[in-house]
Amino acid sequence: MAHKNIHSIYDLIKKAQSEKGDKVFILNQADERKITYNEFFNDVNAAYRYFSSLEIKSGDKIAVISESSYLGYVFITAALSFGITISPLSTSLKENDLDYALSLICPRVVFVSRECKKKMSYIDKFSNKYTFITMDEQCSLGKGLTETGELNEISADGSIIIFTTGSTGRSKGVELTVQNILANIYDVVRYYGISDDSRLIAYFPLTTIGSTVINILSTAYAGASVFLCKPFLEQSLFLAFVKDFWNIIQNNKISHIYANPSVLNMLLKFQKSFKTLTWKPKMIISSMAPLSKETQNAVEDLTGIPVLNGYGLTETTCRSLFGSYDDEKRRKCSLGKPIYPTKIINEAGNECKPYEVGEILISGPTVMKGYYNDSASTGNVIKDGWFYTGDLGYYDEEHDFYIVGRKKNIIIKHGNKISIEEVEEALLGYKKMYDFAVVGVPDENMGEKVVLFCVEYENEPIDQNELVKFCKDNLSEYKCPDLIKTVKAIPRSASGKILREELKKLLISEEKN
Amino acid sequence: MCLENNIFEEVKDIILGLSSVNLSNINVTGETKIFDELGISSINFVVMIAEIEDKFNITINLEDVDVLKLNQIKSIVELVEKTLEIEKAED
Repeated sequence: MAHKNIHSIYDLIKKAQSEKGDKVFILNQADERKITYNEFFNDVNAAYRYFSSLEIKSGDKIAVISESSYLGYVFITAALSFGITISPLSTSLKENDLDYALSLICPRVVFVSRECKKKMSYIDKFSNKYTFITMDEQCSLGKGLTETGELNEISADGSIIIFTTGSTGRSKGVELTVQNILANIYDVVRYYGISDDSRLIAYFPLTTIGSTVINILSTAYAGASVFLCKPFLEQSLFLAFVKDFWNIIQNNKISHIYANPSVLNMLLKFQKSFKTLTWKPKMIISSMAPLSKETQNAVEDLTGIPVLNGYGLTETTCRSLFGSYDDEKRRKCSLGKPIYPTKIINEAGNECKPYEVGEILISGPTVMKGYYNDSASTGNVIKDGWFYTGDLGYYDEEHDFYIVGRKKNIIIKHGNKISIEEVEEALLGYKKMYDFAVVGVPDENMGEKVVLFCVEYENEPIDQNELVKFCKDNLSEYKCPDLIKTVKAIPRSASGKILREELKKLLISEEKN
Repeated sequence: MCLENNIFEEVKDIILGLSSVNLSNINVTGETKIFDELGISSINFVVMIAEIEDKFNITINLEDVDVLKLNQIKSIVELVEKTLEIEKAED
């Protein structure tokens, strides 16, 4: 239980509305509106009335395919408030990934933004199997707003299903309950000192659990406000965002900046655009991928703002380790002391001693309900109430935790997890490679990049442009190789296992030369 | 003319250094599309602009620029030329 007076998301937004009323809750950059707590609460109720008009009721499942938008957040909050299971789907899904996600969830309705409908032209192919409705704020909320008054039919908790990459095969739908979310919100607000004079910034996609839990719902819980950035509908718009970043922070007096190492590295590229801020944010919280000491120190040295290294997985709702406040430890990227039950175990399954590296295990109220409709995979990662993160770490004599790497075959590029197996499975369809292997290699800008090593058939050189096109046609953009290298052979162990570390070393030594 | 060519070559080199595509079969010209043909990602696009700023010692101001049109090598070259002109006039 997160808080004695708050048992549901509906309780949370109702309490916020009754206490904060006309205070601005969301500053929406897309249309420059300032949305108050009253307006948000009414919009959430209106969204539910709109759902009801479409015969969506408590216990049903819906999906949303939308860039980060106010309406997207209203839909998610309404679903969670009124017992509906909602799954925000990535806007970069390829046809086969979308097919897989929809067949797993079987949503009653799929809401799609206009932009995504344009971009994902293949959506029409699914219209005989699922009901697609284009999202339109005036239409959706306007209809619901014509009826006023509070709704009384809060029967059950909703849940949210976020697709993430597990260690094997295809994406899995992580199902998080309202109780998972409430527990994490409470600790996020408390640990980071978010109060009613705080202002957060939201710019990650709707599919990031942090965008709902941290950006919106913890803001509401604290009675604070959040600046909702315009979505990056085109690749070049991300540039405009990065170049304007410090202006946004200054002009909107952002107190808590959420970022990932990729964004921090981009900001370091434009050091010139960081002028001495007359407004000083309280902290930068980095998460979604391992933060290097170099990046942490460089950002702190440039800005004078403390950079905390947070840690968590979608499977543990969002934040599991919150980052150390201690000056010295923070600069070593310490994850800080655990709030939830956390331990590190070695290969033998025994708890590690200080400084002994092992797998990080997390338990407690934020551990997911499970992978949706996949009890076998759930059983592989949750054992006796402990979630096996697949990440390797250690703790020091003061019980501050540190992360060192990953046990699983996963590449984290720009904070997106990519299963090596999934990429290799897709590449099996390209028959012109004699042998191949995919490896994640550290990259200054991306965190890690996807590198494809391939072996050609004798006298049959691979047409790399054709191969790139094949990847683009069969994999989401972020999963496509960033670099293709031709090698004479793929190093394998006696049992045939690919020796990925050797390929990594080969590339790193080549790049150094 | 010579300077313009240099700018084109310098910008082209920076962009090609960030491309994921094997370029041996592509005739790279001003019309080449950086996202569709060269596979530049949104992050690499940011890196590209940062590298161009360093190379030419300029600060690209995006306020008067339609960033959606920055999708070909020649549009980037034009932006660099325009910025160089403005910064020269200010000196």
